[in-house]
Amino acid sequence: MRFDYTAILSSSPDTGEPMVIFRPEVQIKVHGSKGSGDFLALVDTGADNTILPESIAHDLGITLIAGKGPAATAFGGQEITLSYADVKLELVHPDETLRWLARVYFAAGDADKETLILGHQGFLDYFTAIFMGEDCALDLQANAYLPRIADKSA
Amino acid sequence: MQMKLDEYITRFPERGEPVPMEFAGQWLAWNENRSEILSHGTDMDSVRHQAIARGCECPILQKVPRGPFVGGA
Repeated sequence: MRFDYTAILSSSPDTGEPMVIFRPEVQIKVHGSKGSGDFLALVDTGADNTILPESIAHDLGITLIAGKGPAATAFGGQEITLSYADVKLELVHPDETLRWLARVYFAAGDADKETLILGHQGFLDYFTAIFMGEDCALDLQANAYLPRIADKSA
Repeated sequence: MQMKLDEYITRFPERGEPVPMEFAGQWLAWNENRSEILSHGTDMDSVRHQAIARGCECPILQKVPRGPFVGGA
């Protein structure tokens, strides 16, 4: 499944000139007790876990469990308190939709810094991923470890 | 990968326009084929519901970074 990177007009960090930056984002559908929502989320090989903003859990009725382990550490050393839930995710693509149950972590905090990260646990562990820099596109192929669930399951 | 806008338009003419700079730091709600931005703002829940109120049952939400992203800080 090929996904074109999303393109965002931003400023170059060195010159400040307007530049198009590309992000390997894919469309995922997140399910909760109050419905589902579609989001673009960043595929991040540097992230150990899949982390979404708590606002998504609240909006979709996902019951969170407080994490007992250490806080996550972001670039720069900032610690992020996480809670978690096992959540039905879908990878949405015109040719195929894949569904699985994933351990997803939810980050509380400043709404301005909310971001959606598809890391190894819950996402990348289940795919072979090829980042095609020249084409600004990502190819994802599900592997045998993907814990698929049936179309109609909750 | 980063490039100037004119290079982007030349190399990827089939892709849509990049997200405008004015939306940096905001949530966007796209229509189902991601051809139109239906609503935007800083609160995800209200952006989503504004898009639904405009007739899109399943808006696609995107959080736009303020600038180059280097991790979840």
